[in-house]
Amino acid sequence: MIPFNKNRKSECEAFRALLSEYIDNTLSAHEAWEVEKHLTDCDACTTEVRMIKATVQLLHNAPRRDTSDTFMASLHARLDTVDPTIAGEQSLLGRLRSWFSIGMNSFAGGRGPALSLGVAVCALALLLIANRPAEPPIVATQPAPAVSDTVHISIAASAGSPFSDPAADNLELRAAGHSGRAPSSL
Amino acid sequence: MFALGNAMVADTALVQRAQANDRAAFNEIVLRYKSKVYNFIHRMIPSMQDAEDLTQETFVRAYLSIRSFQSRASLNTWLFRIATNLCIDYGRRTKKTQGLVTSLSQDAEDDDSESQRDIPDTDYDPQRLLLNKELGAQLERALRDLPEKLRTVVLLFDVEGLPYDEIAVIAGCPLGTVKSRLFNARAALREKLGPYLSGRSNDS
Amino acid sequence: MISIWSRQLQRHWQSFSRAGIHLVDRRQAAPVKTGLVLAASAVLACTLASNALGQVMQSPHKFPGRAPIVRQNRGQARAAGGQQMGRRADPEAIALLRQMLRPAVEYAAEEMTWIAQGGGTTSHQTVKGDTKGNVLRRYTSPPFLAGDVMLTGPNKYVYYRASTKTVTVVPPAGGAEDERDKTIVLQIKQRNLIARRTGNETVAGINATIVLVTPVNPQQGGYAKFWIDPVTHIKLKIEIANAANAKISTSELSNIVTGPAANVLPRDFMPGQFGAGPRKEVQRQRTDTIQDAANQLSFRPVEPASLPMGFRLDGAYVLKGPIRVGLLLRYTDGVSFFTLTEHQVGKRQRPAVAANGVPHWFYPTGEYQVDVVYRGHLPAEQEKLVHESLKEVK
Repeated sequence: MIPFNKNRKSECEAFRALLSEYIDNTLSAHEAWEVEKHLTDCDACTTEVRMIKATVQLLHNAPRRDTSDTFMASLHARLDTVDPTIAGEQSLLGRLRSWFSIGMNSFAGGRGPALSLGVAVCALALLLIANRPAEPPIVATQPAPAVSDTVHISIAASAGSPFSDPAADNLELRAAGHSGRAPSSL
Repeated sequence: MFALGNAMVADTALVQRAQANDRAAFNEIVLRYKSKVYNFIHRMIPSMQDAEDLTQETFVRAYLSIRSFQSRASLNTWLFRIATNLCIDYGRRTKKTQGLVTSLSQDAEDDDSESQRDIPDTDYDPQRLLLNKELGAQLERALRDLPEKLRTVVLLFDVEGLPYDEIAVIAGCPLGTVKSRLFNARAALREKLGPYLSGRSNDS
Repeated sequence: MISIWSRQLQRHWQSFSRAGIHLVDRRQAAPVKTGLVLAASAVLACTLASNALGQVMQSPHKFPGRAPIVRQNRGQARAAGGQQMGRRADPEAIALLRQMLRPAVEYAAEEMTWIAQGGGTTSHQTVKGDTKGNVLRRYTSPPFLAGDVMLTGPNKYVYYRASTKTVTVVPPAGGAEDERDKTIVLQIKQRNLIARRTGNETVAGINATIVLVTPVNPQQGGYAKFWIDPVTHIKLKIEIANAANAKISTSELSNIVTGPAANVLPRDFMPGQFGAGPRKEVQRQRTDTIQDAANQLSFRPVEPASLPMGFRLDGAYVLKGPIRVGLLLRYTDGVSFFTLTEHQVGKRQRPAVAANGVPHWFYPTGEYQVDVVYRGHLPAEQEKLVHESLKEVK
């Protein structure tokens, strides 16, 4: 049993912070060697390493869950109602996102400029989040409506009837999305 | 049903096609990433039902802004970034409306109903299974008790296996912060799970 | 009273003889005129009655239409001894409709389309048509349609969307036959519809013959009205009204140029004219019964248990998108139509109305919901009837 003194305690504190990275093998060769040297002398820290490893193992083996059977179908139903050709090109949010992705690439490089960029980006994001309405809709208004397959099929079916007006059908089906109003029942 | 099928098409090619309005390509992207994203989100927020909605929301947002995605960047990082932001927003919203107590009780129900979707344990030792189930439940509880910032990092690193630098981008913080959050998260989990771990500490 | 009748008789005589001249060779005008006197006297009573009706129809009335007045007059017309009028076919009208499908000359024109929806919305497009019945429309307004091109024709539908430079093609659902001819004949033979000429009116400087198509049953409202050039058979104007006789839409031509001056080329009606950009083919498969379609779906579809009077299922189409399979049901009474488009969605999904302005009806089952999109012009009570009577197809 090794006597527990103040020095050892502060030593363990210092090494504690490195144990996590030691397990991940992301320490420098020198740092790793220092940790190992400490571990040969310290039961407490050795146990600690074992416990953290076990925790990580648990996390690795945590049950994985997947979406339900209707996920894809209902996702596509939602996608049918939005038009991606407009959003992301003009909105401030869209431009901000592209800025984010540029920021992502610069993060991979040096830390210094990346840090300041990160701070600036986070600040801007916070500003945006703070000023956003409580429940932002996915797409509030669209300058041009999406033309889904069913719209085309409806018009094509009408065009096949001699008593209908495909020009009117086209205008109606496309204008419905544009004005945001439901087709009025007369 | 559609051309992509089993072909090992790279993410960048899919993204390019999706940017050109190819819905089938976007569908393939969703198929590739939805389990990862859902797996992450369902531990980030308490409600299973909302987790699936938020997962959908992640992909709807991705669909809307796919054109501003730089294909050199990682699709993984980008999607998780969207998912993380949505979880933060969600957390802020529900904090105002839900009490902690109600969310906990909801968790208990959700766990029972969703347990059938777990990937089954291949170890058939009943003793081990019992321990696993209890341990599993303790793990989930311990994760939920973590502060959001710590939970994010430990889920991304230890559960999803993403590297430090990607996590730094996703969480929007420096690399050093990722490492310290990871350390703190693991320490907190280890504290809570300590008694359950002592029997398993032989694998080092 | 008699003087009024005689004046009307004169007017009718004039229009009849003009029509008669157009129908036959000019050189034989004289003997034909004599023959027409006999024919004219025989149908005079019917003509007067229908003209009374036609005048009411022609009077420009803004929507919503004055339905009760129209119905009353029709009742009066019937009472006036025109009961047989309702049943007697007007072969000239039918002939004109069929000729309208394949004009005698190529033409180019400007077209204005007006729809009642949205408080009145208008589009402007330039039109080119050939003698086979193909029509090319290039949109100039409103902004969300500008640049788009729609190509329709016998079993043909191609749409070029300018904003995405994408070409969408909907292949014919059934065989390669042009069914429009058959539809006209069939609808009238089956006594679902009746077509009759109701007079003349000048459209785009041309003296057009008006042909009115309505359901046979006078209880059913709605009509499709055509202004047809009796010489070239070009459809100069079309007006459609719903079962409440409220005008739904009109499309009218102007600045018409015919023949070589129209500069109509075969390539105008070929999908290749839109270049080598992205092309999409929409797969749809028509089945005769909903049951046949249902067997190809991953969900149990719904259908209305009650339909508005005169409506029946016109076709069920299985929609095979790259991802999902859906169903389109088309109901018609011969003149009006509405569609129900169905897809499966998750049980927790909430209807998305705001995004594209089209109302989604969600029909819940235990495991999922059926997302139903209604498109049509039924009067409010009839639409409600359809909505509330939806039930799963067994």
